[in-house]
Amino acid sequence: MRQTIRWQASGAPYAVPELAIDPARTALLIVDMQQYSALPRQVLDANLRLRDFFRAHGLPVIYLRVGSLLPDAQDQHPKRRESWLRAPGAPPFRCPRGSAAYELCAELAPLPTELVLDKNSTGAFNSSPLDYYLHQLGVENLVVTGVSTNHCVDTTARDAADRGYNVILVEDACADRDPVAHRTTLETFARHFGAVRRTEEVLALFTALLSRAPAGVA
Amino acid sequence: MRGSIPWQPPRPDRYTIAELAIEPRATALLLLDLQVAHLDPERGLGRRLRATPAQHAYYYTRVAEVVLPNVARLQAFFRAHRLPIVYTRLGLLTADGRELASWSWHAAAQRVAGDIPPRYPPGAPERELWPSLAPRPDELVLDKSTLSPFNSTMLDQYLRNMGVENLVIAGVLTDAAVETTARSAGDRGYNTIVVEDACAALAAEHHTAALATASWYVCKRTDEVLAQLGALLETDGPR
Repeated sequence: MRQTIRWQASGAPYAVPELAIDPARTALLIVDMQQYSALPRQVLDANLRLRDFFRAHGLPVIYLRVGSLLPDAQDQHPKRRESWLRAPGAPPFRCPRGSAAYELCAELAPLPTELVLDKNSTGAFNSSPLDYYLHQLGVENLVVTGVSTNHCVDTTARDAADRGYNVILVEDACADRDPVAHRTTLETFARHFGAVRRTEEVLALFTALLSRAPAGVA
Repeated sequence: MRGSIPWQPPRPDRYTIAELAIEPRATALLLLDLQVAHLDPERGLGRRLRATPAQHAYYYTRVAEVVLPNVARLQAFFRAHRLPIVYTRLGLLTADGRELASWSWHAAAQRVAGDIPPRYPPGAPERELWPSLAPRPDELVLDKSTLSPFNSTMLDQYLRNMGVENLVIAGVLTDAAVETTARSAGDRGYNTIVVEDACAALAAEHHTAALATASWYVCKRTDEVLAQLGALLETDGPR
């Protein structure tokens, strides 16, 4: 059942002020919250609250993981293989699937019924079948969280919006070491790509929407 | 023949690639959305921006005085060296935009915008490329419904078929089509250069902030692109 919600603030020339969405066709996309990513505790807590809400309402939760599929990262493009997350004077950073660092944060503990997708680049649409699975699941709306705001979250969220998904970027459930880069992503996203909201707003919004929706959400 | 060009400026906090070895002949120019809807101050975006006169003045001044002249220089250079040029146009593929999902904010953006939509249908004059670009028969023109051609065209396939490894990107808007395209191109492994003085956003701060947070691409001025690529191509001799 579609319900109209506030979408984008006015200001940008093609801003969409209100949007009718079907809340039952919403998935939570948690980007790259893995053992190697240093996360502020409050960002992890925000993600857990969102995740537990989506789980309780039977809505899809999708976790992304980034790293390499091969131990020597031959599956990554050469510049990434050489320089991703590498400190000056240090050897290349390796985070292959199967290593402890690659695993999702222990607190997330995905259920066997939740999708975990692997990617070996910044944007999920460039190196994972995310779009295929969203289509299979009938997802129209995405709530996006995770790390880091200006890299994996930004590129993934903007590509999702560009492909037509109605995307809500949750500003206090994302983190970036660079506060300016974090803000730039949020401002650009609100201007051209979709909605930016805080965790509390998302929880309140979907609580209201789902209470009015028919029972039996898949 | 391969040669090196400067790549990333050094940073204290992370490893950067100072110089990149490239094959200059594997370079394509990608000109994004340089069409009437985005470049004519009296049509399309120009009509929408009348509500914000300061943005209108800034954007169309920059388009006329900075972007179009530098795009012309880039186009002439790529043509002189017989390197591929790809143009994109943002628009609908069908007369009524039925290819946009009814539930998508894209469809809502079309409805809300009335007779000045973000995407014009086939045949609309706003959809046409800016006349001075005059694409040649051996240059690719791709129509797309999304900001990034990687999201709604087979550009990636065409570039790989043509042996393109390096992408030089210009066009509008810096923080929308350009940045989305450049991020994807870099993320897919292309050596991606955004030509900062051949792009424009609606405000200087939008332009600067987008390029300051470049992800997997670098920024160069037109002068630098022409000099750096030119030096490598000269060592090849005439084609």
